[in-house]
Amino acid sequence: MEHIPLNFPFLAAALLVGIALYIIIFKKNLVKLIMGIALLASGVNLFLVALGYRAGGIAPIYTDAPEGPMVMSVPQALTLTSIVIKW
Amino acid sequence: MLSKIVRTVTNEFMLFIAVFGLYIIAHGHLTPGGGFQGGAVIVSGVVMLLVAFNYQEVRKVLRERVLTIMESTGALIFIALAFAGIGAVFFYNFLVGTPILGRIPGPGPNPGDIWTGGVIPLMNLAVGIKVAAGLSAVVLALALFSSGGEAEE
Amino acid sequence: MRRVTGLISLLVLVAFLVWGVALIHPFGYPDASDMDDYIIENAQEETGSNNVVSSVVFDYRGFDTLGEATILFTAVTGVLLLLRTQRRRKEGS
Repeated sequence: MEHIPLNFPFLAAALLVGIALYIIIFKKNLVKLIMGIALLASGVNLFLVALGYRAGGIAPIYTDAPEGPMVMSVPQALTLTSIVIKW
Repeated sequence: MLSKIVRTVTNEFMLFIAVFGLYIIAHGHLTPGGGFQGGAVIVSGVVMLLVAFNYQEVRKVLRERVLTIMESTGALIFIALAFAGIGAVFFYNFLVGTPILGRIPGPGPNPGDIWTGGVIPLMNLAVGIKVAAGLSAVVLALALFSSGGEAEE
Repeated sequence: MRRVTGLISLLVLVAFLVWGVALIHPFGYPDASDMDDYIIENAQEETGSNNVVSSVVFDYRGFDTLGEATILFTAVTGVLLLLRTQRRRKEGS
């Protein structure tokens, strides 16, 4: 359990999923239900992008790139697909 | 119909939004962006038109039949480009090295050259057309549905 | 009674999620990144584009983009089909 102080983005994503599950189970209004489903998708997308971060990294694009290691690029491609499916 | 100031400003802004969306689609292999994002920008411009004008006025310019034909054309061009490199594998990038779009950029960070990328800019254009036409048709149908559906021929 | 049971099960689920998240690799130092290292090294020579994410979406994993285009097409067709029936019913009656 000594990794807890460093894993704040993952914890935020897990809390978002928890709040979205509470809205889906306990609210009866239809508009609130749809907003809860959208919140669930946002939590999952945040978790997916935060998995691929490298400390001190830059965006994986070669056009006028500054110095530094590049972050992982495959989770970002999967998040693009997931956002379009949510439309 | 909103007031005359809103209508005039919307007419002016639609041109800038369309150019911005096409810029994001066309430079998809150099800067962040691509087909899906540029299509979403163009759809937001169409929604702005629908809010400022009446539904009947917009319907004279954007007919629904033309939009569905454009969407199907975009999907067919995407599949044709995927099948064209069937000699090696399914989605093979067969334009790298040929003089059409096939320059190879130098290694490491460089200012981008637009005539690179192989088959990727063409795929970006096809997906951009598909997304813009499809979501515009959906937004038009929803506007008709929510305004009561009267005066329909 | 049903609300209390639902609340307790929700709390247990969230506790599982938080405990599971705490055991992944520390934020910023991913392990097992061999595929991404190969893609970042060789994406400029093999595909010829500066944007690595774009070349992953359209070239290395183009099949997923084909599936996503199919989903978009099906969604648009479904929405237009439903609203067309509503239109005809409203003007027919």
